Amino acid sequence: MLIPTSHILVVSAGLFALGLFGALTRRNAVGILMSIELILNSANLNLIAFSRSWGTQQADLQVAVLIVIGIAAAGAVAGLALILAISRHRQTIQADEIKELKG
Amino acid sequence: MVTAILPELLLTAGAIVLLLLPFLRSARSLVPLSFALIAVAAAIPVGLLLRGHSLGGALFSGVFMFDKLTFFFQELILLSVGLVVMTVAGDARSGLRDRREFYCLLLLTTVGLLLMPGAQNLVLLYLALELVSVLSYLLSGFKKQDGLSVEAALKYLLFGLLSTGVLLYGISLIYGLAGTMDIRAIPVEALRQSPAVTLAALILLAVGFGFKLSLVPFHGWAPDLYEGAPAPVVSFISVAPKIATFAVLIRLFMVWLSPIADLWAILFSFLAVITMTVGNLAALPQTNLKRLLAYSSIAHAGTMLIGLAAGTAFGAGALAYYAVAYLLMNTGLFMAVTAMESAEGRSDLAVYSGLAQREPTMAALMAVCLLSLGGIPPLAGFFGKMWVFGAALKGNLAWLAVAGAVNSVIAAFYYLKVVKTLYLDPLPAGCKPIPCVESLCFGMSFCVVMLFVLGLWQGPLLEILRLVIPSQLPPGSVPW
Amino acid sequence: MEFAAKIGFYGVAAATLAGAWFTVSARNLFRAALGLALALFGVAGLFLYMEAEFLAAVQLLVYVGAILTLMIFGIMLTHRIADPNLKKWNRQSGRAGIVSAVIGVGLSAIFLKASWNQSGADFPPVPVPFLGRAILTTQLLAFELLSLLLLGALVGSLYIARKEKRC
Repeated sequence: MLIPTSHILVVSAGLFALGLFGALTRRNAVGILMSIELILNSANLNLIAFSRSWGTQQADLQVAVLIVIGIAAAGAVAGLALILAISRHRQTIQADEIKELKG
Repeated sequence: MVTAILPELLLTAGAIVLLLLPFLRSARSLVPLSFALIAVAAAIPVGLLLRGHSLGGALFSGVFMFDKLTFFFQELILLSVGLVVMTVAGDARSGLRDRREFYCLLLLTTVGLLLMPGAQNLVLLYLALELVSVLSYLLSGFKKQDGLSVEAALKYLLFGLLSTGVLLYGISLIYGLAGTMDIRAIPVEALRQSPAVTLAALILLAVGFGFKLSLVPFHGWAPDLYEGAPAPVVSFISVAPKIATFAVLIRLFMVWLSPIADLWAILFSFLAVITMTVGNLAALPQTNLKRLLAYSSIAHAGTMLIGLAAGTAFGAGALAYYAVAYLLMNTGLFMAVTAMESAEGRSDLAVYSGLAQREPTMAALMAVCLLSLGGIPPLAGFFGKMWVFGAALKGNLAWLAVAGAVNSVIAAFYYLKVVKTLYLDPLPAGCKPIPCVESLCFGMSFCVVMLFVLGLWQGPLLEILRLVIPSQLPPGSVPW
Repeated sequence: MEFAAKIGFYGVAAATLAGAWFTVSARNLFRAALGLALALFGVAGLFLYMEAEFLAAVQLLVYVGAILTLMIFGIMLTHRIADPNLKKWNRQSGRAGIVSAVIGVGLSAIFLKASWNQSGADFPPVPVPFLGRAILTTQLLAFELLSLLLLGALVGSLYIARKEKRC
């Protein structure tokens, strides 16, 4: 069955906007990381939808999505390591309570 | 094919060896080994070229382009990383220099940086950029006993992951329009047919790259990171990734997307103006030298962006010239910051007052770097600005050149303020002399000598740039 | 059958977006993590609809299996999750909400209007061996680079997260 590409794109635009909203407004660092995962997922959806619509290079694009998933894992690991190091110093991880540094 | 990535292979092997050899426990062995690895990696392609090997062209099914542009920027990146290793050797306080994990990550990051200028495939480009970014987040959090430093690193990571996510979304839109990830094969007519999507994709790409270049309004992470992270790491993050990103922009926008230059040139001109202005104005009231340098590096990125916005071979050459000058003056200055941070533990401007009485040589070297950053002739920084503004004038962007010139005046003001602190302010009582580390003295002297050489004797570098800049670019009346 | 499949698709899409909404809006971060799980499952379902079965499996294994677990570890490390006094969003949430809504609606409008390459042909799905071939040929350099990224992330994270004896 063929889903129109644009319908998948609308879902991905929604995911992207929600992820952006979360990343801009969440106060907790883990919350921001989770929102960023939504953005990466929306881009992955786009990539697969377009690879279906072009028909060429489908395997390359699927591998690209695998790579993006790997990168997401590496980014999450790095973020969690930093959060762990900070939690040794203080009790809370509220992103905007990190006030010692001014913006 | 393998000879083209010999430097990358060497650095990878070196990074793993550094981790595994049990006797590498102090800076005494780690610094020379890393420096030797980087020097050999830089020498390999030069040696191969001299022995008559040709550059490889498009390699690995066309994803990696090893041409003169790639080669030039790779050498610049290796020079920058080599100087950073010398900086780390002089960092006595943070304890970084005795950690082999630090050198391992630095070398792995360098591999990513080396692949960026040659990346011809958007997937490889994104991956190399993420390799550099993720490892930079970790490097900037390496001073883990300092809560402030780790918090700045976390902020950098959250900003960074968000903007590279946005970049990936932009890449996916480009693929949707073009049907290919190979940037040579992007059919420009397809981009023209859907201007709305193309514009959205370009803006998303600009967000991603703008973060790496710390362009306003994506610069929020920079001041905190510069203040919180150890000085050698800041020196690294402020130069090498920016140079690699500019190389990517030259290849992606100036070479392959030049037919739709009308769409992106205005975007980059706009970004350049607000970045320069906000960076320079925010730098004025700063009282911490590292924070001041954060805003100064933001402003410099904005100035370099003018060369990109010009869209001509002249602009690309001016941008590359500026990158060389920026590398030397910024790294040289950060060596002094590292020495002071090791001696005093902080980098407020107050610490630097009267430095000329305390350490006359160091103050003089620092002053040259500062004057070059401020665009005072006859140093290389001045000519970098001159070429960039010249490119803007020739590219019918006179308003950009004027905005840049006004900004240079503001910038000269705050750099001169620091020079005044060094020379005219009184020395606080009870200061000890700063212990001299050979690598820092040598590195700073090298940077300063090169700033004079490039300023007074421009021919060779201009000649090299003329060879390096791809011939597909519109010439824009090249002056050399 | 066709109709049922279509309904199924829109159901999965709605579940994905609902999960995403939970992820960004739930006050309790554990609920947010459950919302993220729903969204990730939904994306895996959409992958299935686009006949990328292998990706759907990897999505479940890596995202739901590994990354989500990491996130939950992270949540447990950050205390005060259930504190009722804690505002869930920061000061800028109003502005950010408007900006995100404009971006989402704008992108959707652009996407619906744009002329995408829709050949209409039903391309055969890619057999998994082709993915392996792509990894070892066209995407070889990227694949090797990814292993460097994972190695570096591992080394750096272990160093940063490890407890030093002296501190």
